[in-house]
Amino acid sequence: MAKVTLEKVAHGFPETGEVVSELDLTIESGEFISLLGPSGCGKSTLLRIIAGLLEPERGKIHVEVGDRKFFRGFVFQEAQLLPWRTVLENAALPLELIGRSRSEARAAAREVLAKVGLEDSLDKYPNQLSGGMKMRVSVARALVSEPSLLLLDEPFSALDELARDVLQEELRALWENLKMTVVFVTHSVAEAVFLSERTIVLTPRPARIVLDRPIELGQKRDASTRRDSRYWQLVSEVSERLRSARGSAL
Amino acid sequence: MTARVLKEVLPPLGFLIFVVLLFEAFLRFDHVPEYLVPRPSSVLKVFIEDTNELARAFYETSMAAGFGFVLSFVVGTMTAIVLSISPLIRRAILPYAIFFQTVPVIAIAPLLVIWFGFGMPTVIASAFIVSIFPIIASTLLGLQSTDPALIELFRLYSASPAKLLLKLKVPFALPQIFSGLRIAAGLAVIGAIVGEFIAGGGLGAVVDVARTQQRTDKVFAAVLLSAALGLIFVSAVNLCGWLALRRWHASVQARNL
Repeated sequence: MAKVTLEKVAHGFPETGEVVSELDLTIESGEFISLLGPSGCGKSTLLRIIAGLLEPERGKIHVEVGDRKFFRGFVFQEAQLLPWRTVLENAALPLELIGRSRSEARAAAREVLAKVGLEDSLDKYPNQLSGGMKMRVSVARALVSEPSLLLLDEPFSALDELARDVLQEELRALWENLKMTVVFVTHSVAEAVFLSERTIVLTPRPARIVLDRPIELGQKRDASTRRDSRYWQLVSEVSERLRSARGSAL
Repeated sequence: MTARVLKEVLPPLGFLIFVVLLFEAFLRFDHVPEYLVPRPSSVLKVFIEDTNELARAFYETSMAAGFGFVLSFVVGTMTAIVLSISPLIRRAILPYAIFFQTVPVIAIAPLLVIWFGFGMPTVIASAFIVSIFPIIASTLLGLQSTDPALIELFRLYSASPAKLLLKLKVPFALPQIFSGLRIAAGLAVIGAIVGEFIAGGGLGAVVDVARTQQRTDKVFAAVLLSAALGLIFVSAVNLCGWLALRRWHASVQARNL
C-alpha cells in the first residue's frame, strides 16, 4: 500500500494555462479516494502527476511505500487494449514490460482475469468483447503487477448504466480484498460517493480543493447501498458543493 | 462454396470472353491493320509460339522487381523507424525525401545505366527507387500515429525503447505499413519495366524490341504479362496483410464477410 503526499503542486500547459494550482493533498495508505470535478477541471492532470506520468512544474510529490517493490496501475478513460493481443496477452503485458518471463506473466494474468470474471474469454480479441468486458480486461491489466497504488481516470464513463453499476461493485470488492490505495477520478457524484472512503471536490481550472468529505457508508458496499438514505444524503450534499464550486468559476 | 465461387467468377469471366470476341469480330470485319491493333487471336498465337522467350522475360522482370521490392521494404522500414525516433533527423531529411520522390524514374534511368551498367542491377535499382517512398511515408505515418494513452501505459512500466517499438509502435502501424507495401508492390513492377526499357532484359526489353519490329501483337502479350505480374505482386502483399491482420483489424474483417 502506498501513501501519497502532494505539497503545493502546480502544473499548466501552454494552451490552457494553469490547470492545477498550489494543491496540498495527502492520500492515506490503503484509502479509496475519489477526485470529483466538472469535465476539464484538471483532475486528469492531477492523476497523471500522481501516476508519475507527468512531472509537476512546481511543488513536491512524495510516494511512501512499504518494503515491497512498488508498482502503479492505471486505468484509462477507454479500455485502451492492444487490439492485436488476446485478452490473456493484454492482461499479461505489464509483466512482460517489466521483464518477467512470458509463462510467469501469463500465469499471473490468468489468475487476475479470473478475479474479474473473464476466465472463459482468455483467447478472445478485444474486437470480440463488449464495452464492459473490455474495461474488465483493462482493470485486470492494471492489477496484474499487484500495484500498491491503483489510479483510475473516469474508467466507466463510456459504459451503459447497468454495466457501470456492476463494475463499481466489483471494483469496490477488489479494493476490499487486495489492500491497495485507490485514486478514482470521476465527474459522477453518485459514483464517487458509492465507491470511496473519501471524496475530494475540485474547482474548474485551476483545480483547487473545495470539499474534502469522508464517506461514512461502512466497509461493505453492494447494490443495497444505493438504496440507503445516508447514501442519498451524501450524494445531494456533495452535489450541492460541486454545483457551487462550478458556479463560482463560471 | 462452389456456388459462391461460380457467382463471383462467372460474371467477370463471361464479360472478358464477350469483350475479346467482340474485339476479334470488330477488328476482322473492319480490316484494321494488325500493326495498329492486333486481333486477340494473334496475341494468343504469340503466347503459344514464343512461350519460352516470354517465360524467361517474365521470370527476369519478376526477379528484378522482387529484389527491388524486398530491398525497398528493408531499407524503407529501417529509414522510417529512424525518422520516427529522431525528430531532428526527420526534420533534416524528410524535405529532401519528398523532393527526391518527385524526380521521375524515367529521367534518372540513363544515370542508373552509367552507374550500374546494362542489366539486372540497374533494373533492381529502378524498381527500388520508385517503390521505397510510399513505404517510408506510410510506415512513418503509422509509427507516429500510436495512441498517446498506450504510450503512457508503456511508460508506466518503464518499457525500454526497443519494447516500445516492437510491442507497440510496429504492430500499431501494421495496417498502414501494409497499405504502403501494396502501393510499393505495384510500383516495383512499373519501375523494373521502366529500367528494362533502358538497361535491357525482361518484359521491358520484349516490349521495346517488338515495338521496333512493329510486332504489336507481341507488345500486347508482354503488356498483359506485366499487368499479370503487378497483380501477382499486389495479391501477395494482400495475402501477407490478411494473414497478419485477420484476427484483429476491422478493415480485414469487413472484407471477410
